[in-house]
Amino acid sequence: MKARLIGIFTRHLQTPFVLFVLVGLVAVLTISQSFSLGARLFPTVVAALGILLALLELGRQWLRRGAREASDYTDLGDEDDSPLFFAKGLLFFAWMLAFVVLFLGIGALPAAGLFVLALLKLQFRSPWLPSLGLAAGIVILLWGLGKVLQLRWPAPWLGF
Amino acid sequence: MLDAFVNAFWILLDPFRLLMLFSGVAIGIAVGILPGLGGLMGMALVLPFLFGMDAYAGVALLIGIAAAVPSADTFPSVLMGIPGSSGSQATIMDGYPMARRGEAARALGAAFTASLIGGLIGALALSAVVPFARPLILAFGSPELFMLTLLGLSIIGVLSGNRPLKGMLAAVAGLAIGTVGGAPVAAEYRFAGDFLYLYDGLSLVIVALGLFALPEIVDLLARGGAIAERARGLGHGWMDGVRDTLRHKWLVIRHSVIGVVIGAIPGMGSSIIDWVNYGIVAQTSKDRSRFGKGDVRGVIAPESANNAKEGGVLMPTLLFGVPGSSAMAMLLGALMIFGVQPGPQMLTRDLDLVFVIIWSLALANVFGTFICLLLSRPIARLTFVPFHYIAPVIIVIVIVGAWQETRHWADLAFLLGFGLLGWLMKRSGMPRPPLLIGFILSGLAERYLWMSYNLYDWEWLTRPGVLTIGALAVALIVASVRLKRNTSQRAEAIQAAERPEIDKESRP
Repeated sequence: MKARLIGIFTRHLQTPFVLFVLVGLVAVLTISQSFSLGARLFPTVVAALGILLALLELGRQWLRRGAREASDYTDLGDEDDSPLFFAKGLLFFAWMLAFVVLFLGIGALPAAGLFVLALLKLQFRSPWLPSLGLAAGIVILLWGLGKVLQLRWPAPWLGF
Repeated sequence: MLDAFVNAFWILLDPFRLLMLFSGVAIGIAVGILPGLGGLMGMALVLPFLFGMDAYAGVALLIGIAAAVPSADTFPSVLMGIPGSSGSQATIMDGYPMARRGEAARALGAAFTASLIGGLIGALALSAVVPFARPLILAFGSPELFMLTLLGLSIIGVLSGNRPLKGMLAAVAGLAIGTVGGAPVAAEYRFAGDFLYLYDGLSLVIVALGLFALPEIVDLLARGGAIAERARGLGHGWMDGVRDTLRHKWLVIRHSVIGVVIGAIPGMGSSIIDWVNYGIVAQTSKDRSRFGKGDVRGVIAPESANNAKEGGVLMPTLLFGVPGSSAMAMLLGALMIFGVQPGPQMLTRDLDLVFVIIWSLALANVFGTFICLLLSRPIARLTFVPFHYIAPVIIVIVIVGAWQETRHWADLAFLLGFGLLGWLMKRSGMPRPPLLIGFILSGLAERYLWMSYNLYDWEWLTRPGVLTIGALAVALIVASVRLKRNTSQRAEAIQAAERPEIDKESRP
């Protein structure tokens, strides 16, 4: 059931996406009417043009419903749009979210080491040696970059 | 003008700027060789680290990346039959069969030499255009500049994806996202509510990293495995390849010029340039029997055009402030970070910087070629590293880079948000480059529109210059769409004819 839902979502993603853009542009058009002329002119022109294009695109999709669309011409490689591929993609976004939470929670350097180690061990079942080596390497790299480029790190929420 | 040209060379010779140029070339080679990554992602990765750098060093770094990718992407095309980037698809047609015959080194030698000459011709063409274009461009008023911005944006929108409407819609969405924050021509904040973070608008670094870095990493991780399961050895014959290119010097010059001309049309993209040139060389050669079976001319023509096009795409970018490609949009964004206003003013106020860009392009091609030739064996080995060892490093750098923007938690939240948006756009067939370019051009377009409206009311629409540019836009869009459609059909036909053989050979 879950896989089927993801499958349906992936195949028909383009219509909800255009609808999402359309709603955003209608909001821009509506909200911008309360601005002064200088602040209103450009968003009004852009949103009006965008709404027209979105409606035309929805009309085109309606006329060509059922036909499979090719992917972005500028994107290379995989045409894989299977539910599994989609779910895997979302999983890696979850990994990145976890890293962001760690980054803000315990600080940049420990988070980076922990994230690399956890991703390699838990997700890819990589052997200990390369995993630990890469985790240590990234911490040293960040430390070095921080010194050379005078990067600033977040003050950890957890306070250490 | 000549003073500025010479002065720019001395500016670039500063050791730190040369180091940045060299670093850019190294990054460009690394992202060029890994299929799925590319110049755009490489440039997005370094954007956060440009703050505090001087503009000359920053543009040297970015141009280094942009110039090195078209050379390095030849490795996977020749060795594995996989395009390293969209600009090296046609190189596979003859480069890979040459590798199958044990002539990989010869193919690479020919490709790198052709790339070097093409890149230098591109830089030369760009420097030759600047003095002639300057008086014409300085005569433009704000209505014409607004129309030029729209012209560039609409061509990119129409050409970027498979569906012109989707591309245009993405461009308009980018323009709309660019309106968030303080209005450039009125003391008012828009669409920011009480959220102080948004008062300065969304950052280019966050939008670019989100749209172009995260989706690529996620897709490559989801696909899994190493980039190459196996590849053939490089073999011998480097000097034969160099000699091949020098023997076909007129072919190199012809295709470099074609690369520059097509590259100067915003949005034409490297894959179109690549295939157009392959098509031309295959059609116009007397002996066509060996094309698709390992004819070195099939490597030389697209490779010289592919590097020469960088000079072409810089023409609209530097002269009009209209990015010739997505990577050039990133360069424009970087120029704004340095406080440089892209467009005609650059030719008066920042002429030194324009020439530094041209010199960087020329030197980056030289550095890139020599690195590719001298370090070809270790570089080729990069393709065997499983991507899950590369991805965590890139993810950490992306997130650390995004954090440096304003050091606010919202930087990271928007990064992930735009990452998800970019990935969904990729999955749903919506082209992402027009969105980024629309976002970058939004402020500029708004200023031009407001100045035009303020000075001429809506009558600016009837100015002869505006009407001419409008007519030109329609003609250019129609011609470009036709060229793209014909090229795509021809490329598909060529690939359909050759692919089964290549696939069969690729199988272990």
